[in-house]
Amino acid sequence: MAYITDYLYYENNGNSPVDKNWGSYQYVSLEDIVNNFMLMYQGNNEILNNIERYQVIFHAKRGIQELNYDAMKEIKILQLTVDSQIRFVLPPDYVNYVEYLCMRQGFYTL
Amino acid sequence: MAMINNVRNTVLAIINKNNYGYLSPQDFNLYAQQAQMDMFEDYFYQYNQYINRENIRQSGTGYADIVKGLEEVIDSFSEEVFLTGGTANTWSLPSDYYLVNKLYYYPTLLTSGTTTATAANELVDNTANPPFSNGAVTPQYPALQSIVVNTDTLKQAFVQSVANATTINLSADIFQAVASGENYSIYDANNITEVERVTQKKIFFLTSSTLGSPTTQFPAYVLSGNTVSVYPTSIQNNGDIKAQYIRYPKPPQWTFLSLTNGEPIFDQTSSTYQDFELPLSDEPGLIAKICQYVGIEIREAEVYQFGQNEEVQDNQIQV
Repeated sequence: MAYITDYLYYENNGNSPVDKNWGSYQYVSLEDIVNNFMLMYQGNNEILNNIERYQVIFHAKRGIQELNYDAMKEIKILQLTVDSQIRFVLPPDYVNYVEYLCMRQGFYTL
Repeated sequence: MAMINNVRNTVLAIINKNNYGYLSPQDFNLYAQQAQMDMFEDYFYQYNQYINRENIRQSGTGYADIVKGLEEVIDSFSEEVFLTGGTANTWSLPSDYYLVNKLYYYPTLLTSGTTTATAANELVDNTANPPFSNGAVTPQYPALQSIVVNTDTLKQAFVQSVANATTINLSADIFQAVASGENYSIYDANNITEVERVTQKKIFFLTSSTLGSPTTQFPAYVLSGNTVSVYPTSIQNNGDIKAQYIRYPKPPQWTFLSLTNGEPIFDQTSSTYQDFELPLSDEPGLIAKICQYVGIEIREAEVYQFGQNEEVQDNQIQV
């Protein structure tokens, strides 16, 4: 069963912007994770009582971090220019490198 | 039927032993308020007690669902209002709030502006940018059921239909200024987020946290006095924050028309008249409590004892 109707997916129920839900099957948002967790697990008659939402957000984000380290293995490619001291700034989502290539005379070498 | 008159008549009947007891309407109103407040507060303790019982499987469902009944009574005191903005990211709570259940925020502002004309149940803005759209050419904008807030009066309505590029039909008449324009904001009703209560002790740890600091999608607030401070501090506009809270019950007022043969005659039509707001099932409890106060007033130990015994017995049945 589709998680939303075709009309909602393709045309956002006729509302603006029409492309709001295009490609939304690709990801589960952090907002969804936190909302569903609070809905299903937190409360007077649920398995977790007296837990604040900011604690759930923290653990959800930490979980995403850990998955990035170990499981997701999203490989990105960056072209960086080294400075005069042969340094460059690593990107904020850096976990580990796969390979370094150096461009010399129009060619990349390992 | 006025519950307050029944309560007063019963109390007068109980205390009128040997014609000793007389209770003035002013005194009755004072005791009635005390008794109502006492019972109102008791609902929250009872609610907590029964939740705990539910969790240890000592409370039932269906007709035995005590929690449901308690929730219904508490919810009858529930109110929803947009809060009045103060300076920067602060808002004032209503003066009659007993307990703030939740604050919420609409993160998706679709558009805002100033009305250029006034018509019943309509928002008219000839300078709307982008112009409104009824979906004939482009998609419907703003979407049906979007929330429209008059940010001057903080009244709220929903988009029922878009008439044309400058006019929206609303579910309520919230723009009533004829001479001058009124400011409005339209929010996406599908994106509502709760503003989370954080203690004074934790708030700056939270705002300094890299992973947990409040965002517009997950905002937070602290309460000091009657004022809430909302984080992130970018949330500042009038009409941004709405509160769902439990208000205090209104003070009961047994009002009378005139004295006939020395007796005040009950007048339900008076502008100051106010019945008890608790359910009818609380009538015996209210009588018992008022009798205790009256027993002290007329120095009649038996009346006091009667009230106390009734209350103890009632509590024992509930356990």
